[in-house]
Amino acid sequence: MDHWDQFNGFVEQQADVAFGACKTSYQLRLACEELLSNIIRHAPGAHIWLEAYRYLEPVPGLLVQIEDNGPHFDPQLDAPRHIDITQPIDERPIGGLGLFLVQNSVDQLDYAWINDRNRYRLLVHQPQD
Amino acid sequence: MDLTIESISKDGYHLLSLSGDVDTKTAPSLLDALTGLELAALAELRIEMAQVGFLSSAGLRALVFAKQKMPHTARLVLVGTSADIADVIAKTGLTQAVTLVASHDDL
Repeated sequence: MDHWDQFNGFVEQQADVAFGACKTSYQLRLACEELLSNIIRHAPGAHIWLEAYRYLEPVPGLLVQIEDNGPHFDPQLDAPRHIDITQPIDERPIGGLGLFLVQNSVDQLDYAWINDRNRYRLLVHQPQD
Repeated sequence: MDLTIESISKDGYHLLSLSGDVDTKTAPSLLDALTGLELAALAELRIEMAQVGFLSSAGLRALVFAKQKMPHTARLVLVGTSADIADVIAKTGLTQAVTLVASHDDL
């Protein structure tokens, strides 16, 4: 957790510059926080690289790329996760919310194992007012 | 950002006032504050959220933990929750577990 605030602060800053302080920025920050938390849990001590790119085509937006050199770990981000919101709170599992929020907070998401690194890419489009 | 927690017993309820972000780094301190309460004996727990700018799944888990430990008839009230956080609570189906109000005057 040494650089936790710097990582999350970087994402927040990039999102605010791209979109302003809005729901889209909040959701991108949330998705990145959940992924970083997942990486720290599954690959303690791994190095993490964080980059952000603005893009203009096909629609303007922001891409955040997160890489880590921990063990190969595919969180199956393309497999839809569902939460039974009708389930009584007493029966709700404590876990399972993080990756659900990742999937439901960005416009596009992918995972790849490249050059001995786990690579996650999160794309969010510029909100249409 | 750090999280500051103030815990006060009031007449008829317990109040936790939070200030900061509730994320993976800080949620354990919220969980500590919650486990320090007699949750099973509380009729109402209010959490002041007006100064909370961010809540991740780690914070949601702490809220679920608290509600599961409280009596079925007890209320878990979040006061002054931002629209972004309220949206996440709704998305994860936790609106059935908490009462969201804008201010204490609404109670």
